[in-house]
Amino acid sequence: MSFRRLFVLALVVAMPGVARAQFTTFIPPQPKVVDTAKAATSVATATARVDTTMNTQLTNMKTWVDSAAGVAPSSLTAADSLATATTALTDTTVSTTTTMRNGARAPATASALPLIALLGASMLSVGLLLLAGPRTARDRTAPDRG
Amino acid sequence: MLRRRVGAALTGLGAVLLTVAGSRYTTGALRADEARRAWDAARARQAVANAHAAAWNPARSVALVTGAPVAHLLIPRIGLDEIVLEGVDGDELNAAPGHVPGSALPGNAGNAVISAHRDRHFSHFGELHLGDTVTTETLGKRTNWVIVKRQVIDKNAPALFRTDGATLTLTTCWPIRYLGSAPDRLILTAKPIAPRVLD
Repeated sequence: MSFRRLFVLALVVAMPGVARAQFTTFIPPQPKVVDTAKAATSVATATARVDTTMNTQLTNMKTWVDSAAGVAPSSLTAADSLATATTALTDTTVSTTTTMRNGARAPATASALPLIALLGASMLSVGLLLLAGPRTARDRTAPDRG
Repeated sequence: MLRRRVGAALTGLGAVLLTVAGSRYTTGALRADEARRAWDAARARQAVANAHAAAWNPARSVALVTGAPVAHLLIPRIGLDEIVLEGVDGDELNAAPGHVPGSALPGNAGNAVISAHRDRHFSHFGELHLGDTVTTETLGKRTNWVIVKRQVIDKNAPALFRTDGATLTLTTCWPIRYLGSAPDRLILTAKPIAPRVLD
């Protein structure tokens, strides 16, 4: 057996061992450590987003805290009827009154119909006068095509 | 030639405007008739129900649905006899005086607010003075009122207030004879004389 053949045989025998050694160095990933405190916080946040009652309570609580601290609330909740009434007393931008509120303006009973009717009658009268007025000389001299 | 064209245009436009106004008035009159028939039918049903009940049951009242008849308003001095509809939007006020939603029903505790156009149902409203009487009927209760306050206020001024006792507030635009959007409101406040249960 020549030296070359011995070398090839040695490679054939040794290479799988080398390759195997590559795989035996595989280190499995460590299981993730669950941060229980963080998970609880995220769950609570998601619940608060979905739970409108809790939202309202939080808003009211914030309003109460602000008012207790002497800070004017930045926004009013729709369910606060007392606040709505207070707003009605000072709000002058509402165009019409369609429901009863304390301090609301009288309903908009203004109507444009009389004006429209008067304009229509005037236009009709003037138009008929113009149509029935004296014919011009040109109209009178026009040949009768009947 | 130009004169005839202008005349034809004015005649056409005038006819259109008159048609619009006329159709609106006609629609309102038809709806007022419909409301009166509905009110009469409701009164008849009420009478039958009362025949079976020893006392009036407040729970058996009219449904406060927008556009539904809720009361009967009578003002003898100006010959007003109208069915009041629920709501004060354009369609309701075009047909009849409107009861402001959220206000009390006439005769009940609280402020009952009724509004109407000055060019239609409340066209003679300016002739009313302190001491004039008003009568309202809801299903089951007839109330006579006396006008105790008459005021003209700016259209943007606060006009409607809640009251503890029975109060009737009637509003319309002011001045009565005014072309265009009236700048003020006429507010009449009345207090009950003697409410009584209808048979």
